[in-house]
Amino acid sequence: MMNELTELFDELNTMFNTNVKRNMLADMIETKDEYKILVDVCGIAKENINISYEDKYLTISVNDATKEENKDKYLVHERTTNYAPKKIYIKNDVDFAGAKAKVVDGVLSITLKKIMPKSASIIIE
Amino acid sequence: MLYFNNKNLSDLFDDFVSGAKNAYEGALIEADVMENDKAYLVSVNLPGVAKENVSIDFKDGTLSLDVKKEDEKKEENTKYVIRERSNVYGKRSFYLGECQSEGIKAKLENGVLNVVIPKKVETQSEAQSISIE
Repeated sequence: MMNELTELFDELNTMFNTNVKRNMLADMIETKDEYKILVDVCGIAKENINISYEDKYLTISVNDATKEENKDKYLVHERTTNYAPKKIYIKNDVDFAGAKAKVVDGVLSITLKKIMPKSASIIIE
Repeated sequence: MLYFNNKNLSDLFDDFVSGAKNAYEGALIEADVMENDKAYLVSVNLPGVAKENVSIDFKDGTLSLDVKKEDEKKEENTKYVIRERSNVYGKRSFYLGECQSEGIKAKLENGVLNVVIPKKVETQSEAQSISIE
């Protein structure tokens, strides 16, 4: 009985501890002429962050850099840099080529300017 | 289901909702604690937190962190389309046991606070000769 129980718990442990990719937490703030996106990227170097934009979706992905063997023993292990790519839908057309991105204090911020439709008058033939 | 009447059920949901709201207010400060022969290393995720808002102390074998809440800046004409991040603040402490409190080093870099706490070195008792009076 005890053996079965320990086996069950071992199985559960592996279920929870396998390389589950975590969700990155983001904010998106909209103003009249731009979007500002903030993403928590604690401990991730900016070289390991990729940002792309396609069909109104902004994608932020992170290369997991924590693959080196660590000989230290973990007493508490809650942090991870193993994140799933984050896809964010942006309603308006934005100028991705002119986007600005920076990482400050573990927070990635991306500023995207909206592309305003140019007003035009129609000439009556 | 016999044990749940309607009142209990709605109470249950109310508790759940208020619990979820509290969780949104202040997120858990995520931490790692590692140990090797010489020291303990405590790493804490503090996204967007300035070092002025963090205080660390070590007392009676316990390392305590206190992260102050930052004032929210309100900007006009803005709206949140997505809001998942929360202000990281609060207290956490870790019991590590006897350590060398003088040699503790802390650094906040790239949103991660690393604290190295050297373990107490057991002073090897040198052979002392005792002179006979």
